[in-house]
Amino acid sequence: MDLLPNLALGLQVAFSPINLMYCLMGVTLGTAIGVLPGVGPIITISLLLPLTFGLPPEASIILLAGIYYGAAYGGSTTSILVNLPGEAASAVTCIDGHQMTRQGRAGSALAIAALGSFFAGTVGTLLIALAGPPLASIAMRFGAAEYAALVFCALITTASMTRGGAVKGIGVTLLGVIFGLAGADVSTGIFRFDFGILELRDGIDFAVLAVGLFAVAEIIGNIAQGEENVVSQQKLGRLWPTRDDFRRAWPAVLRGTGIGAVLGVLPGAGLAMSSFSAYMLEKSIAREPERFGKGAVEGVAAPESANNAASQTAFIPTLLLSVPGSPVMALMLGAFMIHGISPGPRMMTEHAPLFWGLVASMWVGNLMLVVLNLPLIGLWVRLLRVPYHWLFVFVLAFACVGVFSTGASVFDIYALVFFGLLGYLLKAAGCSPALFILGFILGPMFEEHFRRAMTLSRGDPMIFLQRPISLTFVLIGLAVLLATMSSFIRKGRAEATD
Amino acid sequence: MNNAETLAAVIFLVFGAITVVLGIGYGTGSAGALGPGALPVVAGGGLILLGFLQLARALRAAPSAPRAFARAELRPLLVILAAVAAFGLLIAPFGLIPALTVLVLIAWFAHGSGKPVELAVIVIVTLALNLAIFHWGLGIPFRLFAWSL
Repeated sequence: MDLLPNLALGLQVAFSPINLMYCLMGVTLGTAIGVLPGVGPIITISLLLPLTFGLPPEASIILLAGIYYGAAYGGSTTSILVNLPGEAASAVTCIDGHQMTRQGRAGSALAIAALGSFFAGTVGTLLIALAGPPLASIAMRFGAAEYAALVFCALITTASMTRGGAVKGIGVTLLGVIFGLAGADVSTGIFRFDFGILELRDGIDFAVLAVGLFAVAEIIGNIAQGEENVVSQQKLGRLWPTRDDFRRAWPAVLRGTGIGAVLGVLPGAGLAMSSFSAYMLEKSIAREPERFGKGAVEGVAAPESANNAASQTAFIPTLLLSVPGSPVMALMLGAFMIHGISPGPRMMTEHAPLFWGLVASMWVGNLMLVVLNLPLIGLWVRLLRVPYHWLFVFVLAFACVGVFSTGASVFDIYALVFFGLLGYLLKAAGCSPALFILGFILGPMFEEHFRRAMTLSRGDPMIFLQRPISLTFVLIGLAVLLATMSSFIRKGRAEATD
Repeated sequence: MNNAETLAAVIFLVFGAITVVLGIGYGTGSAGALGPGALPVVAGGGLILLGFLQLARALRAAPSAPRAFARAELRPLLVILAAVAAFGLLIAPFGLIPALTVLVLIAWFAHGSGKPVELAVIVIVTLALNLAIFHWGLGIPFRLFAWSL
């Protein structure tokens, strides 16, 4: 068992003063932006992505990991204090978390969320370290056909499980795939979708796409909604939870962690489903289910732990197979690729310090969130009270300067206008821009593996069905597709007969 | 026709059609050697198919579907996009500080409330924070004023 030496190597990397500083910086910035109302992790990560340019690879992914956890934590803080979830995953936390705030127990709710998340994060990190080596050795045997089938399966499952319905979900994912294909074709060198514009020959800049689609489009939507400050003026109350809180919370944390750890690995299931399932489980096994929705500690502890465990184990497919299971992971993978880091089974052996350093930094990041953010809660609350019509101007300026800082290209700024408009249109049409990002990242991967597999089999598509692993992925993908489509047709009939 | 369902269908159909036309031009190749246009044609074709499915759904749901565009969104949409475009226009000839100032001045009117004093404070705070983070913090060599070169 070489778990311990590996973790030791990782901790050595993570605890080097400079990396520790980057982790701290990431966690703080991530929380600071993530805490803003209506700003979810995806927007936070896209906004802060330009900051990581120009750093060495290790430092940049440690900074990114810090931002990732900070953003998630900031989101929970907002849910608990303001009842405005930045993302679906923290919507459940609002139910009981905000009730606790109204009862003057915001401090305890935040502390329970932080401690539960830390526990879940620790378990999740250990799982990555444990599952890593065996999974990597399986993944090493993956050929082009297996990869193509896996990406297909991940795309279909995630796109089908969206709120707006499978047709829109798959459609917007395909749109992302098409945008991802822009630029020079790997095998022929032909420039695709460049419209004669020189800047488009390298493909679409991922950071520009993310900032435009999320930050710019989101600002437009938020101003229109007239989102103004709704921060309650309630007292935070005591920070340290009572003995009774602890007694109720710890079993919920354990169960939430278990659910989250399992669901996080599955593509498409993701954070939202894990926190919802954890909440529903607590409610169904509680002795007094009527306490839920009225500030039950378990209602905060379980979803927050599940959320964090899932956001940890979601790294398993991303890092070991380089196939992200969720839009946020696609964003992280895109960020890694910008820095020339291509995750995959080889990363663990060929870039051991990088891989284990990242795993250890995840844990350090979680730890920092607890020790740093509990005392800083007062500061985050004050940040929440900044009026939105001040905030959005700053966020917009920050987005533009950030994008310009990555390449000093005026074209990128105009591209920002384009993607801002596209993001606005997609949202107006009820299509999830997050799925667009998933397609954008996974599309080129799918094309590469698919073409290679077809070349290897001399044009025989049966290659995807003859290999057991690839067959399994294809069947899962088709089953999900069939299930969603049949429910679509059934619903359609029901609507027609109404 | 102003509803979210129809808009989604239109987006899918338009982008699908463009992609298929361009994809055929790139060459689809053969099954054993797929060309650069193969996946675009398949993806674009899929998008057109989904666009028609979505259109059918939109027509069925037409009266009850939510409106795609709210009147309240028009002003922020145009103002915010104009602010970003102005930043792009000004950054090369005039430098970061003038471009950023104009961006803030335009973006301010997306919201349509607030006093002039607030605006002045926002301009200064935005300039100071962005310079602190990018120029001094990350050491990115921006031209602060173009005529300073």
